[in-house]
Amino acid sequence: MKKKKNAETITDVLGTASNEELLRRERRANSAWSKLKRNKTAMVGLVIVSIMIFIAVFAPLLAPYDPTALNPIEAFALPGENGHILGCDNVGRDLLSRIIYGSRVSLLVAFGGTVVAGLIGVLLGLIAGYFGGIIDSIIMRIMDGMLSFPYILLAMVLMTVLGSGIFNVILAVGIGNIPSFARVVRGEVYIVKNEEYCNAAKVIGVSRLRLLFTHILPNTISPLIVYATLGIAGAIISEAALSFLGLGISEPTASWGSILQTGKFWLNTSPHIATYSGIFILITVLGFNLLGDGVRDVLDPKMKK
Amino acid sequence: MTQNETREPIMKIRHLTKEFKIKSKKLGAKPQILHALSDVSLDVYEGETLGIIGESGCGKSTLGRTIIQLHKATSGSVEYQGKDLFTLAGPERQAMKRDIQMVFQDPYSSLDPRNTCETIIAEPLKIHQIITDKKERQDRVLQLMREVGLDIQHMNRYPHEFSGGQRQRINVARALSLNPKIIICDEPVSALDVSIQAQVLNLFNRLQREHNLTYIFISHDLGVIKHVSDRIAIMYLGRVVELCEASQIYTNPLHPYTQALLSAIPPESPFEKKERIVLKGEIPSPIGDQVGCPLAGRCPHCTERCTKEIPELKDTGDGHQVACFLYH
Repeated sequence: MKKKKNAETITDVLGTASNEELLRRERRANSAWSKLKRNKTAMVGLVIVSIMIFIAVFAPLLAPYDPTALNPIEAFALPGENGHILGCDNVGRDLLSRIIYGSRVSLLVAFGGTVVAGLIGVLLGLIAGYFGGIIDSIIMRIMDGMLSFPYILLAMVLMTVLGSGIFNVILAVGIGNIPSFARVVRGEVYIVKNEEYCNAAKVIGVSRLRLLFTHILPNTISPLIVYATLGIAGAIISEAALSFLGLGISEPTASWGSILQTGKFWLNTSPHIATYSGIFILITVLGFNLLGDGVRDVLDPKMKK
Repeated sequence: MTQNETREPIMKIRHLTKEFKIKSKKLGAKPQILHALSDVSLDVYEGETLGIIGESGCGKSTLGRTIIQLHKATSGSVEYQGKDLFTLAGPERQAMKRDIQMVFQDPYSSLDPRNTCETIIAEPLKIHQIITDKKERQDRVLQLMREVGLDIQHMNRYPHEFSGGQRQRINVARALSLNPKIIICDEPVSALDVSIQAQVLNLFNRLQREHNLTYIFISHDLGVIKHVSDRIAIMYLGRVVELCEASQIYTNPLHPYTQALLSAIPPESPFEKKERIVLKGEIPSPIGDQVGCPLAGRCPHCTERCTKEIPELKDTGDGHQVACFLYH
């Protein structure tokens, strides 16, 4: 009986087809994807990021040469010479192929490092911000301690301890980024947890865990996303810096950073070696930043366009 | 309503006290104590509206928030259906949360800006697992939205897309979704403009009739309180100074503070002469220990006894309670 009554109310409430259509259209217009589509800069970012991911995934199909094959005769070949579109490095490896294969390492480190830093940092920040008091003090003082080292020094120490290899680079970059994530989130949680809607949720009977993850976390997302995209860009550069210092990815594996490192010795005579991988880093970082800004706007219900 | 004495109260508030510690700026100094609520005892009867009125800072909101446990009471108890609310745990506590709900003062900040209207109203149903089926839950949300006078086409909208009155209706719908017995209304209309206030107040009245709700209605607006209340408690500096039937408070105010408060209502006609009772001075600070009647320093009828003892809330007969030595 009750069910029937409910069925009646919904038909007479949403009865006409036009009403139902209206509701559906509104829901569709509010969906994240359609908002993202309307945001042009975000779409540019998305296209750049997609292209980079595509290149990384299909590297073996796209690369014209073996990225590790030595060919001393063609060392320092200029772009366009002998069919090498971007030229060759000091031992005659095709630069385009190395950059294409290098994108795999660089993107993996960027994503992996940011995810590691994000997961741990956000969790620590949530706990510190929500519980406050002594827990907050302990967590944040540890974070401050980590921040007191220059970031690259911290990563270098970690790399020396862990040894080289992609996985360890991810870990080093990730751990180095935890404190900043924790700080950003903690600051936001401190503001959000005192908002009236958190009180309202408590009155309804929402559990602590649910309050943290369904009300507090979503409301800290704006600065978090901005920070994460900056973090991705930063992680690419950190990997480049670590490889540049000879601590990250070791030869002959290609990464954008290691190509840069090779290029630095020949900057005077063959600047193209460093230039092209630098341009790829630049474009990728730009792409992530544009996309991040767009995603932040999309996730904010107050942004209409 | 005079047969209150024979009716069993649904909620008994006994000696409720809330003190806030204020940390001193000086290092190592003892924290000072702010007495927000001192020894408040009230009975709430089923189906009535208990109005609570007082000027800003007198502890009205603290009272509401302490009952609903957003503040932890320093001492005292709140008994609901024979059980002490502050000691409940687990499923009993959840059941109590279903029965006692709250509508907040600021209709916007009390709604999560990242949730749609539907999600907000459905949340209580979801977490208390009252309706587990998604489709049925949506039906219930629509039914609630209609009940509080919201356009059901707006179910996918976010709080910032609504007007103040509509937002407060969402708050009411959310509170109502659990079929509560008592709703604590913490100045629910003070953030709205006057024409909307009337609509929302009428909504409150209608819902009370239809669902047999009990309201604890906190307000600083004498007109609003007069419109909704059955009984009125007047608060001053964290204490209830007078408690009586709504009609009596306007015809026969006893406490000097109430008399002064009511004399502040402007006369209805410009030809009507109204005597204005002006209390001298300011409200004393709630920080630090209190000696004597809180009104002692400002009261025109102050005696020596008033400066030494704190008067208790006592019945003067016919259920009219007052905390003043003039009457006992």
